Amino acid sequence: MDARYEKLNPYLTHDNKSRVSAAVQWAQSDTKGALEPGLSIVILNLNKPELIVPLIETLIQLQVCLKQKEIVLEIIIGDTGSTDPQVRNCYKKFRDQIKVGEDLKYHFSRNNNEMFAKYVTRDLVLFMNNDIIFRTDPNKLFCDMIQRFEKTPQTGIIGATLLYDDLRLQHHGIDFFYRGALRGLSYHPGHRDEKPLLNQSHRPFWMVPAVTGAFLGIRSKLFQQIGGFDRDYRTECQDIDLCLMAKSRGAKIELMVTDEIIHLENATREKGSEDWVDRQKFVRQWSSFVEVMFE
Amino acid sequence: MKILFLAIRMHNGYGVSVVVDELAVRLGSLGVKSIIGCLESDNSFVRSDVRILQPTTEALRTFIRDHGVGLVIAHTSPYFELLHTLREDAYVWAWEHGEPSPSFFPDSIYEDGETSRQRRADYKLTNIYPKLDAVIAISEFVRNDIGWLSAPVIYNGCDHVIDLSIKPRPFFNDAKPLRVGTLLRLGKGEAAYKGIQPFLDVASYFKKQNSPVTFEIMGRGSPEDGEEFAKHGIKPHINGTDEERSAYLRGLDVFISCSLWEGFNLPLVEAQASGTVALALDVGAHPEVTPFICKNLADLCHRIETYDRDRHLLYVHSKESYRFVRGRFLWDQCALELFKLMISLYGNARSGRLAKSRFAHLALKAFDYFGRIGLKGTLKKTIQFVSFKLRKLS
Repeated sequence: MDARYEKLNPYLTHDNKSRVSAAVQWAQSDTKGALEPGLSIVILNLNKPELIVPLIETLIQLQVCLKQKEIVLEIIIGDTGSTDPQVRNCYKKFRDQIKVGEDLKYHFSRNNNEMFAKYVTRDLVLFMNNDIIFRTDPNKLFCDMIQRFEKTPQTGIIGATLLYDDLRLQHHGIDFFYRGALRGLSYHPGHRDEKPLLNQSHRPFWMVPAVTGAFLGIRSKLFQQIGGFDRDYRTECQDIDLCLMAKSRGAKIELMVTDEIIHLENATREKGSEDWVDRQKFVRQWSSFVEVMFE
Repeated sequence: MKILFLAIRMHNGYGVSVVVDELAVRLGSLGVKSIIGCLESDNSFVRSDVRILQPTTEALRTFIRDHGVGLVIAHTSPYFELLHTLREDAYVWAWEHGEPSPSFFPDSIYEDGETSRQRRADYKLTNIYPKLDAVIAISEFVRNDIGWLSAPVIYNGCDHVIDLSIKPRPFFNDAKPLRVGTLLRLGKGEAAYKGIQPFLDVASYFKKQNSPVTFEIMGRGSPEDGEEFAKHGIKPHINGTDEERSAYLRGLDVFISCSLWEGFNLPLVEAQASGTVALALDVGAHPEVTPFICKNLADLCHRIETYDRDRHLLYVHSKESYRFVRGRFLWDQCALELFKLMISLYGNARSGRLAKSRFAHLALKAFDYFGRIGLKGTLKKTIQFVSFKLRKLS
């Protein structure tokens, strides 16, 4: 392997002994009771009142709108130690409309899995970042997503196009390198394109290999069957791993094409913090799979 | 120039024996003569020139001189340990298939707590590899596992398995119970790393669920070994013939490997080449040889359940598995990679012994030519040459 890519060597960090101890586990997620129709939204948050307060307000408005259409929307916040008074007041103010899981120590996979196991009661769940902003009323967007799940039983996961705050393209589905030293590594096609072709008369759903966890809707049963997000990923790749786990069960991964969602990426995580250990594991487990399924 | 391959045994049912035999045959078709030296042979590899060769420097040296051997490639111990003593007589390479981690063999622990296998691995790394002309690994995993990161990787092939193409969709009949099976050596000595207990656990998981999924196992072993599996409701196939083995791999719906260490896992690849999807745990070189890696035993069971419910998905994955291995693991490619390495060795040692060999000159010329005009061009030129000769004759 080229020395420049040695940090992507899938066997560099994990020796066979550690891989064996993970492989012989029987860990399965707890079985949940009956799941009712509707959508649960799970958001992890730490302070950031300028993000979470308006987001909760928007979602509560959405909750009211969807209720008129007899769609139940459940809002679940996984709080990883917020002390900001504005945030605390917000939780308090809306305590009847939202469920807050407190005292979490931040770990994307573990926290989301915990929130799912503890609070989710609906048959669809949307994992969303706290730095998502809706440019317009998200009512139609959510209705479209729920309808899509209802109409196409094979659809397992739905993501959405995400834009930067300058309206350049951030996420439009995830693809992979299929050859060479970067084989198996993911990338965002069209990233930072200035004029993404999104103005469509109808909202198409595109089949994509994977979508980002910043806005990821999944059937609750499927999420449970595949054991949720893989806790062994420390900071990266959990979302793509989840998509590929779903794909390996025959589920379709779709992208909802829209220009209504802004994601202030890295508002919660510093730039340049690539986790090569996570990437090594991901490349090891999935590079052959993505090659045969998507190339 | 002749090549001498060395392996401890040439027995049917052993992966290394298959590799050595295929290499010898394919190199033969490239015009390179080779001989296989081993300690034991059951005479089942009739296509190759197999000789019994004692693992002593003197015996090997005499053989090399008598037969004009220019390159010695050892595939296993005890020949690895002698390679460096033959450097004056020929080029010496090690072809590493890797060794299961010492922790899988607790019986071999020394008093000081260090296992003999660990000692052997350390000894090879410090005393053997540095003295050789080249070390080849059979997978990226083995390259890392032996700690010799400069080793080029040459994958095994799978096209020794008869090509019956993709299984047709009706094969995956929804009504029949799913047949799940594995193939491994059944002896107790290797049970820990071959993952026999995890395999039993998976079978018993389905039994507890009253699932109609059936489990089978094939491998070399004694009738008593077979009885042990039968007690767990697993159908044993002991010491099957090559034909039975092929029919078994083709007939399964899902092949699983619960092995906890594999340098390549030839049966896993053979199953896929027979048109059967293969699931394996994320250990050893499995990620390189199957697209369907399971994170743990729960994941493995859930995938089997999914295939049981969704036979179309099983059909699609079986098809993709077949294409994956048939496109990637070819013995001709393996021989060609070896050939390329021989040429590069020649390039690095123009003033050395190999430079004097007529074979090396021809090979280099052929390779340069091939490199310049590619496969299509080579074929075109060959056809032109043959038709010219034929015209001349007529």
